[in-house]
Amino acid sequence: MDRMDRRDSHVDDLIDAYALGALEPDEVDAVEHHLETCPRCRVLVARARALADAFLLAVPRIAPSPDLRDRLMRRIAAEAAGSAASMDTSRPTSATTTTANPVARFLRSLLGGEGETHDAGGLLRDLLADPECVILPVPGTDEAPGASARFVGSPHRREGVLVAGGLRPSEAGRAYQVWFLHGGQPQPNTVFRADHSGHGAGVFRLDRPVFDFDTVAVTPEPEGGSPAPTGPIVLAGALRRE
Amino acid sequence: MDEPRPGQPEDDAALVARVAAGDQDALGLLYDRFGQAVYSLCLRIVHEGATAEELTQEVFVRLWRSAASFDAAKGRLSTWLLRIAHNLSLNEVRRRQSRPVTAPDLDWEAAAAALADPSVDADPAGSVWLRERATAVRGALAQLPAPQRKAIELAYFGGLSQPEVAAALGDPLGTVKSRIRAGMQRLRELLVAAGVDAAE
Ligand SMILES: [Zn+2]
Repeated sequence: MDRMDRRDSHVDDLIDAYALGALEPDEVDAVEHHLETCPRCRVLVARARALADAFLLAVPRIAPSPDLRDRLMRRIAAEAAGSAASMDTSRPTSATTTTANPVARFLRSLLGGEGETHDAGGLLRDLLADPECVILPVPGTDEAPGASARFVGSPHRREGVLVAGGLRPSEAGRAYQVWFLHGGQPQPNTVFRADHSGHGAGVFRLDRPVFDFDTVAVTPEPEGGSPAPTGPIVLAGALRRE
Repeated sequence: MDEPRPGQPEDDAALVARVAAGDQDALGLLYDRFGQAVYSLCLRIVHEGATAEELTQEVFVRLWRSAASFDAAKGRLSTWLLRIAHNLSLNEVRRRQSRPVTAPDLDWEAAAAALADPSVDADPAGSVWLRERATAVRGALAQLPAPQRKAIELAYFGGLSQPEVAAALGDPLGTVKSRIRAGMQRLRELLVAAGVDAAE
């Protein structure tokens, strides 16, 4: 009993795993029994918990279906009305929630490996499984207000996919070219065609990390691409890590 | 009435107080602020969009029911919501007895929806702290040696105990224990170096 202050009479070895929820039940009991009488270890546990909490914030962001908010609000309204109808009965019976969005539909076909753009689909799957995957909006400019695109990349990879919708379908001999800009200087990159419904996906490869560039842009160009942009910018978006 | 000034978003505590008073719009605003973080965490753990959405709803229903007991002095609302999301999601995974042992595939439906959703990058008022901190922690995690990060992630997001982590990775238990401790210690150092106080 005269050795209570010795470090190994505390539970230091177990505290991090305890905060992560990784202990076996008997170890949990031992820690909690110890914490009842040890303010020192309670402080250490609180610190380890705070660190574990921080991981919860760090999970890469993915948006839920756009209609989740409506479903939640209906459920809350039902609760508020004291209704027993707190079940989520408003859920659509099939995954139809995003089909109204043409870019989503196109992405699904890419991810499903359909059509001629399965190259992009494979890389997209890879990127989306990358914990550091970054998805950025690339809006249409005044030249193409109905267009929009998503940039899908990762800070440590030198390739990625630009997925676009709402473009004017490419005529014979014409295509869209992707440009990466640094300090206003455009560097030519891949060329892709927009199909009859205005969708297209360009797989780009770079000679340096993507976030060395500050902007991604798209212009209509001849099918073979151009060394410098000749058409108006139809899509442009800032590249940033978050 | 203390209406917020234009351009000055109401803070979380004020919105929670409105929720506690039965204000559904305030709950909607908190969903706008934290819904994506909650959903992303649930998805990370359960790996299925539909289940993650149900869990997300459950988290906000709990907020609705127990807003009055939320004590801003004891911690941030985001932490409170994410802890609930973490617990509910792990319970769901355990209930289904389908613990994934490696980082599984993302839910493609959800990923596609995210890519196509223009609000995916919206930065709602009040989440700046969240965003900055998330960036710092992601950066620190990225610098961690992969075996340490993997052990911590399997424990925390996979809901595995240390022996289960060891089994999943095919490593000795002692190795896993020391990786978890070393990884946590390294993260503390990295976050301190990045100027982030993990206890904030
Ligand atoms: Zn102690």
